Amino acid sequence: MKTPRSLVIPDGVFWTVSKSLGAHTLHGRRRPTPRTDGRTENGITDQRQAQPSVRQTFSNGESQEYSRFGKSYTAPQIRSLWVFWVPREYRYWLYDYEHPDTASILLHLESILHQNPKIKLNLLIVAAKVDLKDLFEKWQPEGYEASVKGTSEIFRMRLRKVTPETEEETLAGDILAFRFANPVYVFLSDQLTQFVKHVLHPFLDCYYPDVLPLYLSSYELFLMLRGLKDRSKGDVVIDRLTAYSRLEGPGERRRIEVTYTHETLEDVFHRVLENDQWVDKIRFSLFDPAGSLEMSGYLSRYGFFRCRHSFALFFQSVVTEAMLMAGKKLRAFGEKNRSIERPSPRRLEISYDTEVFQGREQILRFSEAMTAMKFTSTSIYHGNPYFHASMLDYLDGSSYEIWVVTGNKVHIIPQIRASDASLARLVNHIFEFFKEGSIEGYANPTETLSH
Amino acid sequence: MQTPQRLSVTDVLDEVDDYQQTIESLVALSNVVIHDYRGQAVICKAMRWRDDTSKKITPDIVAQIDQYALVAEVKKSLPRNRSFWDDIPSQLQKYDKDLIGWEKNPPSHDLVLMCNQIVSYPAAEYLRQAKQDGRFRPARNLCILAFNRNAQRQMFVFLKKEDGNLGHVDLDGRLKQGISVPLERVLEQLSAVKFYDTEPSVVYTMAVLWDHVFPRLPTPEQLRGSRGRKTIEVEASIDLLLHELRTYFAPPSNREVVERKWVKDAMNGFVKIGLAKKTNENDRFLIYFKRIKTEDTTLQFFATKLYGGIGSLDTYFSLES
Repeated sequence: MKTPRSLVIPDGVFWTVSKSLGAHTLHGRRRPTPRTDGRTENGITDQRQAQPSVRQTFSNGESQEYSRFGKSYTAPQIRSLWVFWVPREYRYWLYDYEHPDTASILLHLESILHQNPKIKLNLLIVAAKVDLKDLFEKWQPEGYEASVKGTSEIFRMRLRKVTPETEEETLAGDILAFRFANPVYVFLSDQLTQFVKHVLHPFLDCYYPDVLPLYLSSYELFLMLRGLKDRSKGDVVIDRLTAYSRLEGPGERRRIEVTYTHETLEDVFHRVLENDQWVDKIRFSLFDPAGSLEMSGYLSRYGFFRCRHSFALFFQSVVTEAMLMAGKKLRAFGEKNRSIERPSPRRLEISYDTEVFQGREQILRFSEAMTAMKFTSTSIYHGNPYFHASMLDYLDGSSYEIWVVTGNKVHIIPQIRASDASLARLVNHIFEFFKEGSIEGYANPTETLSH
Repeated sequence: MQTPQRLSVTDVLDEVDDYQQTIESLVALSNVVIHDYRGQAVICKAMRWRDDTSKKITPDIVAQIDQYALVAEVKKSLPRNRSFWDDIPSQLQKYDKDLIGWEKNPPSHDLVLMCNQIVSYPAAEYLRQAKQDGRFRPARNLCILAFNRNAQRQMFVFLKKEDGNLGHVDLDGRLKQGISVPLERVLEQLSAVKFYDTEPSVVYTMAVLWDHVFPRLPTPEQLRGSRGRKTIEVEASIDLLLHELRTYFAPPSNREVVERKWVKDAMNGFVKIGLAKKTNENDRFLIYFKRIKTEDTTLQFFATKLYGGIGSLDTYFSLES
């Protein structure tokens, strides 16, 4: 078997080698040409002149020519190198250029997606009341290395998941983050989706409860897409839908269904509601009034989004709406704990439009859902004919009383320590593992879906 | 700490349920007075005899509606051995005196004995008999009030007069019919008042400490470092834990009802099941705070660890011998 031994990297080219989930990726990019040449609209370098080259040499003497000139780089630890060659010079505008404001980010990303239709831009939206740049610089979780550059408002980050020396894989990637509306942050990356899911997402999870994922309901996902449709005056077609269904059998909780479809937004959500399902992920396409593809994207209830072809439209409708929703949740779930100054508890109420707790089976199902919540324990005082339990969240020490004493409501009474992040996690868990309902902080499905 | 050796896990969980149901009834009657009559009702308020102010008594409820007043005592269950029932009249007699400590001084007050509906009839019969044979001669109105949980479309605490009369005509009439107090109306109170002036099962105190007080002891950094997986070791004194229980889970009018002994017993319970260790310093404990991995709920876990293995009849008889 031939083993790569060295790489030849041309002068003047930035290069990085990253290994992500088994895929070893060489990212090369030239220093971009100044914007004054008139050929680089919005600063995007002409792809023809920007193509860097590399030479890969193998242990058996063979070599792969990617380079005309340059200096040699020895990488003895590299056993196999899988070179994806896509012009990556746009990455300068994502991760190196110091954007003065959010408008600059929007302008450049819109241009990047228009000029590079293959690029998928991943977005992760989180809520955080603290300065995240400051937080990342002060403390980093074990197993991660993050180098952060920029301001508190807009910063770039090189994030690496440190694996034990015995393991070959190193998971690393670049991220552009910005604070759009306090307390909401947007993390952007063109890295593989796996990087965002398996590196960035777990990294941010380590900062719980300071960093709160954006939990969205099915109805909120619908509202975002409807906002996109209204703004574009086009049509949203759902390409793939991942939804959960409730299972009634003992011990059964939910079933996941993936549907490939080309139905309209309204048709899909009508069906979801009729079948008592709730949405987990959606892949969609947006067509303009003339029927041409305007953009495609992906939304998940955990605030992980993806878009292609157009960013401005996606940002102005979907991301802006998501940020408003995140702010609303933080306000609704914030400062609900008891304290010396305010010892009386304050309740939160999830209500359902039907009597979901009719019968012992439904209380039992709710009880099972509660005990299944990760990193918590419950003391169940009553499980029949009504439900009363204390719940403790070990991630940040929040604790609650949970009551079901009517046929259509769940009451949550926060105790002495109760963070907004934990409350949001609890409500999302009930939505995901029992049934979605109405609660302050979430958009309420008071309007009927219209065709 | 003395663990009652003959209790089974089921007995302990029933005892916890009894304790909570008693608190529910107290909160429910208070709610009727406050919500329906704009009166005042206080759980476990300390009062004194007018003729001997050195004597402090703590009725389970002290309530006032304008110039009308009542004091109530709760008996969730009664001993099987009827010879112990004599405690009931003697306890009621303690309240059958002019009392001081009222918000507005009433001309007199009624006596109320609250019992679970299962035992309210025999209790009323017993007191009727005690009055007839002269063992109990109350100088005031005496009313036996039954309480129970009631599940309809929603959960209620049902209060119904079993025997006797109250001086408040409207309240008396309504209690004769029975009053349903929706639990939904009193959830905040039930979440905040977890103790009254009777000692609960040690398992119950352990669960309240574990669920609501221990999580406050680690720093945010310790919790973040643990990520819900690693054990966090924290030290706490009995005094600190007692202060927390009194501040957040005792009746607001009388925080002192939670006794130091209850907390000490609970901490010894944690030591016994390996979740805490005594330190060299007196009354300080090192707590091993970690996620309890069990199929059971936390309450069952504590009950099983402390009382498990002695639930079967075989074990019971072997202990007897």
